[in-house]
Order: sequence, then C-alpha cells, then structure tokens
Amino acid sequence: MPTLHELQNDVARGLIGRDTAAAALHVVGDGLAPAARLAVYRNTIVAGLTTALRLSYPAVHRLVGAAFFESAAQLFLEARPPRAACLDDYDPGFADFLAGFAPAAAIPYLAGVARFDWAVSRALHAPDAAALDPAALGAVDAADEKRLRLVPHPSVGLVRADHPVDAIWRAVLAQDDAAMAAIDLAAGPVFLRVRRDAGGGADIARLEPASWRFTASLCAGATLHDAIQAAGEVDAATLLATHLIDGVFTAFTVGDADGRQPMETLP
Amino acid sequence: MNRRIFTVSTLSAAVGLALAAQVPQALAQGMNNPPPIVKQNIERAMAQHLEKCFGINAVAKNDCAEGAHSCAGQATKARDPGSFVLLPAGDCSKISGGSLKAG
Repeated sequence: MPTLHELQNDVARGLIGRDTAAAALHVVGDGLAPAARLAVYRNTIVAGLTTALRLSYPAVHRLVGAAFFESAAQLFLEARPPRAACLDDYDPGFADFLAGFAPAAAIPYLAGVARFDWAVSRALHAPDAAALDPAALGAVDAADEKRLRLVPHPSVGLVRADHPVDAIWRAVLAQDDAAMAAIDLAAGPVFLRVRRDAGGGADIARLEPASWRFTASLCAGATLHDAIQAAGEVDAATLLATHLIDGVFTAFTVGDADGRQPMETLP
Repeated sequence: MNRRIFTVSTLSAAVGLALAAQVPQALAQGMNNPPPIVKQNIERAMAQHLEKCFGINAVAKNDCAEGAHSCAGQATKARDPGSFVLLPAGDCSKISGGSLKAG
C-alpha cells in the first residue's frame, strides 16, 4: 500500500504531467481502462486551466489564435500548475513564459500584451477599497515628505511595454481590422496606468515616462521624496493630485526615514 | 518651463489641487501645463465588450469547463505532445511589422 502522500504524488504526475503509469496502478478500472479514467480528470483540469488563462489573457488569445493558445497554455500549466485554488489568480507568470516561448518569438509584442491583459484582469477583479481622502493628507506636515508613503488601490497596475500594447489590446478585442493595420510597432514604448473606474470598467491612461516612474515608485512603496528624486523632471504636485482625484491611493503612512516602522497609518 | 517643484511644496500643492478640483476636467482646465495624464478615449462599445467579456469570467472559470461535456472527457482535450500547434494563426497577422515564420 502506498502512503497517502505517495498516492497523491502519483495522481498529480498523472494529471498535470503525462506519466499515468504509477497512478493507474491505484485506479479500479470497472469497465474503463484506468488510464482512460485518469484522462477524464486530466482533460477537465487542462480545459479548466486553459479557460482560466484564456479569460485572463483575451488579447493574447486573439493574437495567436485558439489552437496556438491552447498549446502554449498546456505547456505552461504543466510547467507551472496553480498554487492556489482561485482561478482568477492563474497566472501572472504566463507573460514571462510567453517572453521565453520560442514559437512566439515572431510576435515581439506578445509578452507585453500579456502583461497588459493581466493588469486589466487584475484591475477588474481586485477587491474594493475606499479612496484616500486628499484632506487627510493635508494633515501631514510638509517636512514629513521624506517619510510619507502611499498605499495603492488594489486595482492599480503599472505597465511599461516596448510596443503600443494598449492600442493592440484595444484593436484586437474590438476586432477592428483598420485599427490593427494602423498600429505602428515602432512608435516606441508606452507607460501605462491601469485601474478600475467607478463604473467597474478598466480605466487606461498613458503617462509620460517620468510621470510613470514617479507613479511606479510611489506604488512600490517609495517615499514621496524618493519617488520625486527617482522620476527626474516631473510635475509631482499635479500628478499626485490627479492620482488622488482618480482614487489611485487608499491610505498613507508616515514612518521613519527608512520607512521600517510607520508611526501612524491613516485610512 | 516645467520645472521640478521643490519637494517641500509638493504635498501641500497636490492636496490643494486635489481639493480644489471637484472633477478631473476642472483640474485640467485650471492648469498651466498640459495634464500629465492623457486619458484615452474608450468608446462605450468597447466598455460594453469588456463588461460582457469579463462578466462571463467569474462563471466560466469556476465552471467545470463549461458544462456537461467536460465530465465525460469531451472538453478541450489535453493535447498529445506531437500535436502541439506552434504557429500563431490569430490576429497578429493583421498587425503590420509582424512576420510569421515559425520560431
């Protein structure tokens, strides 16, 4: 008799991997070959995970076509099966997988589109959170800017891509052939902010490179002072005001200079 | 023109702008410089498409692969390693600059 752990490992190898031999030893056929019985589960898992990826990466799916997508998805899910039960979280690693996927090398913008797909999916599925009231920030002393950090709303994502992935994304999802033909892949990089708007849709904005760096630094937990320093030439006040109006932040902390220990946290 | 605003004034300036602006449009109109964020026009049709697309998500993802057929093993079948489709055949062909040679 195998231990439960051994049995689970054997079955997992049969379902996610392709080696059903060990698992089949433990399956009672009863009119259907053990391998065929396992295949029912395997197909269900593969189809479910592929569907999850297709729904999270709709523009990638359009770009490469269903057959290619399913093949890529299956290779991916065998290499990186889900670690958590929620399929909405499966899986941010697909973009990196596509970046290194040789058959997709002819589509240099594919991984960028995948990252954007994921950011939109995250924006639409992130939990609700109340926006930070700008008035609450008004209570912070200006001298504390070196210790002020802002907490981004869970729906906010920042994507930098070498190609106009937002335009590609929009064109393929709208099935707009003219827009697809008009895309200039050499137009240069795009710096994008994605969030969920009040109506529950995706709000997509293009930022100037310095503005994006400032925003990305802030969202990554840098102090306001450090974010300004890192960004270079940027109208930080106007940009921060715009983000506040858009509900990009939900809270702030005023910690010590290293930010290790917040002295106060306000909603 | 667009000089960096000194750190010491950034926060109070930002709060003042945010509080003064009831709506983003008011902020944009009141600024000397162009708005740092250019919102792209998302047509209503596009929004509807997305809502529809993602409205299905929550159901479809957690569904046992879209209904009855999966449990009989008839859904998108796990592919044989030899039958992988490794040539993209979607809308990427409609975007200029993309050559679609395998590999």
